[in-house]
Amino acid sequence: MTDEIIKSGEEIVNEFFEQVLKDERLDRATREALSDLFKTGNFSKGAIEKRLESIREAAVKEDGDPKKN
Amino acid sequence: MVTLRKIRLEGFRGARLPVEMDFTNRHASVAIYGDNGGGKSTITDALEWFYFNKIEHLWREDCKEECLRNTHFPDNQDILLSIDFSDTRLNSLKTLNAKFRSKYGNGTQEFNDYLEQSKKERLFLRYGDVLRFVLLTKGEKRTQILDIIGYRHVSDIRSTLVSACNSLEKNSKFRSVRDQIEKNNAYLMDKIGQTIESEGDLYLIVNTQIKPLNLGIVVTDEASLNACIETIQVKTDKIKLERSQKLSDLQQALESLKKEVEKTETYDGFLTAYAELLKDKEKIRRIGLRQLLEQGQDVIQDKIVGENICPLCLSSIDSIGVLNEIAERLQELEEINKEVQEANSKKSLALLNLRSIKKALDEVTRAKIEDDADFNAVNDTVSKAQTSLDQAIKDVEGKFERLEIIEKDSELFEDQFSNLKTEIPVLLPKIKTKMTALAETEGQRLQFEVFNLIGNANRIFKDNKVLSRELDIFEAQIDTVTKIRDSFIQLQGEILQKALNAISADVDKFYSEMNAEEGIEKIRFDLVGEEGVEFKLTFHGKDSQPPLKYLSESHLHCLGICLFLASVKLSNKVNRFFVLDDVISSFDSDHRVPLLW
Repeated sequence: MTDEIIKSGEEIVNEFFEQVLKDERLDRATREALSDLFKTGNFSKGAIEKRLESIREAAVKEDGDPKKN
Repeated sequence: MVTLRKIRLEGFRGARLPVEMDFTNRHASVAIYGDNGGGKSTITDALEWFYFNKIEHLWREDCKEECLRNTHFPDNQDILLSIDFSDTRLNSLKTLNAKFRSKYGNGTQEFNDYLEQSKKERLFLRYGDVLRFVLLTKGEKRTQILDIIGYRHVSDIRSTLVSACNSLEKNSKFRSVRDQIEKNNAYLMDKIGQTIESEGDLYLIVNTQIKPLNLGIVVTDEASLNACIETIQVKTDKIKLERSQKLSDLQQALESLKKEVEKTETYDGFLTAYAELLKDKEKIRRIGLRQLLEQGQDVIQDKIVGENICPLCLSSIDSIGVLNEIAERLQELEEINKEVQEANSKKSLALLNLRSIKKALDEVTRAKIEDDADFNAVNDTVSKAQTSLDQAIKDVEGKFERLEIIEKDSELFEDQFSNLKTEIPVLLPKIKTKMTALAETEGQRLQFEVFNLIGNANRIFKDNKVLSRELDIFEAQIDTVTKIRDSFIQLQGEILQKALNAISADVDKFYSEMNAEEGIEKIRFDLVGEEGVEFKLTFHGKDSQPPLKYLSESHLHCLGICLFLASVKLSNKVNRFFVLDDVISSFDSDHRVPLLW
């Protein structure tokens, strides 16, 4: 019966991204970025590309930072 | 949950004089009956207007607020609609004045939230909408089901994840980083027979290379590596060593350019596909009509301006014929779109290779030697090719978008690249000879060779470290987005199937209660292919689909009502009421009573 289904689409997607955020088998920065874009309502292909690109740039820059090394 | 208690109307549609309906007594359902034109539907219209500020079937025919006033109602009086609910905080009056401005009497946040929530629920089913779902295509049924259960959003997230994943895998930077690492490793394999994965590998290689020089140094870290390089510089002629290094850098840059200029066939492939596409520019421009045609299709299908009426000029049309024609045109546009996409992916590959050639040209410029006439010709060709290639890249990027003809630059591809293809193979042995000639003794030659080799190995190791880090991040991102996409697709399939099972169980239950022992059983929804949903049932024990095959019109109506009831159960979280308006016209009396129960 339909009584079994109590979750809305929104609840299902929210729970999914909460799980994604906790899943340590996934790359931390990527899962955090996707969850954040979802939470802030910016979950689009363009926004994902842009955010992931900035993560790559920041990581490479940080590795090359003499203070860090 | 909220239930209706009282409705009061005055001057609204069929109710000129004040009408009050009291639902305070607790009954499971209430049936309102009366003569045709007696004002029964006015109750539904009033409720729909209260929640949605419009009445769909009237607005569809462009009959708007002016139709809400009873024609005999005094012009200077406001229309009144007052509703009392089980939760008295939500009670509200709604008025419509002579200038057709509406206003709610209840301005609380609670009431506004309630209205917003109610707009998402399924509160009304009218005769004209009963068959709407039953007659949809499989794909439309799937979309409609996603809407009913509020999962359209879920479908949008899936599409975003799929396209983001595809875009990451095809990212040109990702390819370029991977290619650069491969190129560096190919150089190392050629010169020292192995790649360098760690500092340990690098120091081992350096120690092996410097052994014949008997420097008395063992390289174990960066400081000892620098000390080793300085010692070689001190022990030999510094000017000649620097010259040897410059020649070695140029040699490496030219070897790389020699390989890159061979990669122009992807550009030729793109130009051929693009020229073919441009033969019928108008055809490509027609892709812009796709959205319009799709919208037109929806407008005609939803009969927004009425049946068999053109939505633009309002003249009569054959809707089915027009819909078939639109479907054919959309199919044709889909084919054209495929051709454009194919040319687009050839463009991306061509651009990737042109940019690699540009990078190789830049490397040669950085390593160029200007004080030796032997290199004048190649320096000149590289400089011209750089300018021409910049323009060629700009042309591919810009003219493709504007659908302008791209002329192949014959000077670049036939003269400059051809010159490079002939000049570089002549220069490479000359550079080798020059390097050999620099050394006065065999010992010095060995010093130069080792110095250049460990310098290059050190530089490539450092470059690869940065590139590999970037590649690792790329791969981790692709892997993560792919896993998230796959989990989401799996989840979406599971929840859709679960929702379908639940709806199926309710539809089957309601249908059998209303049509006991009529041979129609086991009604269910099944996923059909990846993008469709269809009703299935057994008719006298035999599997049958679609329902139109055996069911009479009244049975199809009943199926539509059952689906509405199941969707009410599934999606209505706030309101504990719904209105069925004139939906049982095709039912005989034996079938009407079970619906009320």
